Amino acid sequence: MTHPRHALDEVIHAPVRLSIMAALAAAEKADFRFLRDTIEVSDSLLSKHIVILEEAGYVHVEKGFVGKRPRTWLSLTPRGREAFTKYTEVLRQITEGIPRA
Amino acid sequence: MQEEIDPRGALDEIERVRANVRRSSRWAGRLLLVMGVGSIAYWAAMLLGPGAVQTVAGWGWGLFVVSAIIFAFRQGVYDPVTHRLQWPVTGLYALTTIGAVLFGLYVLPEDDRGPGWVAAAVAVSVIAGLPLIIGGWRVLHLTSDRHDGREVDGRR
Repeated sequence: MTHPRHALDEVIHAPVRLSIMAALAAAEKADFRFLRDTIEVSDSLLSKHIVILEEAGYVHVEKGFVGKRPRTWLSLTPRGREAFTKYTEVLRQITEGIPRA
Repeated sequence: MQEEIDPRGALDEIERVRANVRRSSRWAGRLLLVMGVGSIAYWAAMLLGPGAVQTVAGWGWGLFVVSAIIFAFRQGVYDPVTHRLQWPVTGLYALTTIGAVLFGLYVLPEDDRGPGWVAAAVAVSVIAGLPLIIGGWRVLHLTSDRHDGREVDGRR
């Protein structure tokens, strides 16, 4: 199996999780509601995919309060950032037709 | 949302989301710029203004800073550039603020201020606000749409 598509990270390579990872890669941290509005999904769908990314060790979830309002902050872990960088490199290899080294 | 995603579509989605997040995270740069200009006005008023102007400036600056903190806490996204610059900018601003305080207390004469002293007070006011203005400009520059941001945080 030499085609670079086999190196695509299956955890990231799904529409909602890809968008979550892309958003968090561009931010230091983002609020749950901001993420929901940015990638245009429901609360439940976003929660479901965040759990998968958290279990993979890619996303760090931090719950807290601002006054009496609960807030959930999300950020990429170093492992998640590394996985996303590798994932985008593989995507570029595929789209540019570059064989794996 | 579609369930399958092809590599080109994935790259397009990454760019779309990245641009969206970067646009939303530019608030910190704008806030720093506004605070820098406000800081210059505050110090000019405190160093050169009469008592009533100083009182208004003190209350105005205090309310402005509280509003800025509340505004910052209400934002939904924080960008890596601001995260990286927050301590250098804060440290430099603390130093220039201490400098302005010392200048006002020990250097600037209370009476007989000629044009030279006025110019010096204006220069001190501008210098006091410069760390915020430069920090804000850096954040806006490095999070602009034209800047691809790959070297922003050294992690990509």
